[in-house]
Amino acid sequence: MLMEEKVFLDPVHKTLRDSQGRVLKVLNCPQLALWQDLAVIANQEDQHRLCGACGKLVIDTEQWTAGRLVRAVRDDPEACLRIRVGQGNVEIKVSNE
Amino acid sequence: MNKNVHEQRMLVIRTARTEKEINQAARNGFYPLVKRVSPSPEIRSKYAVYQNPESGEVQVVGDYRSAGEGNEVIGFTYYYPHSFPSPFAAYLIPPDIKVGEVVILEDLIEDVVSGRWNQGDVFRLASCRATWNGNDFILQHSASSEEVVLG
Repeated sequence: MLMEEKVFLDPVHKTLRDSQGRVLKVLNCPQLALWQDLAVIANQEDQHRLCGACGKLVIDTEQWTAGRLVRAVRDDPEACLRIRVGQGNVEIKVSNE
Repeated sequence: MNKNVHEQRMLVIRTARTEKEINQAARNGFYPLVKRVSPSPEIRSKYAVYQNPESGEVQVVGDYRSAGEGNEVIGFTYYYPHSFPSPFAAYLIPPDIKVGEVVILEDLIEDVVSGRWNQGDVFRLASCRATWNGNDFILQHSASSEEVVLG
């Protein structure tokens, strides 16, 4: 039986970890961008927004599965993501290491 | 240390968190704007600890939705999740900063709430835009009802 994929967000240290506690990504926006300030893109059902500061797409991960989130980060570690604390595919755990 | 700029040409203000770092910066031409490091009682995270009664290994969880394995040996408990090396710190002011200039405070000294979670956790703002008024920084931030992380 396959183990269910889980993703853990540490909102204090801004890190995303997998089920084994390995860091998948550090969520660090040097521009201090806010989702509500990003440009909405037509016909994208608001799943992506454009950051005017750096020109990158920011992807809303709220509707993804945890597995898709892990794959996306592994496929493109530089991908810029939006993660809301409390969204259904991510559990919250502050690392004390 | 050099004056650092973002892609938007915004000055980044560094923070020194020890006596040694502050004095090094002063010798390098920065004016250290010293402030107390004062933890806010409002900022908190929670944890619970579960323990396997046979192996003794523990599992820490921080989310009511997480299923802990084993016996609950510490129930959900709130705590202040940050630690800093000194009870004081300083923003390092470069000599060429202009009154009214908007900057990025890379490592905020003040405890400011960035957002909340409906499970009770309250998060600390790590970085912030601010305006220099000649004596101090006026923070440009309003707390959100939810915590959203971008990056």
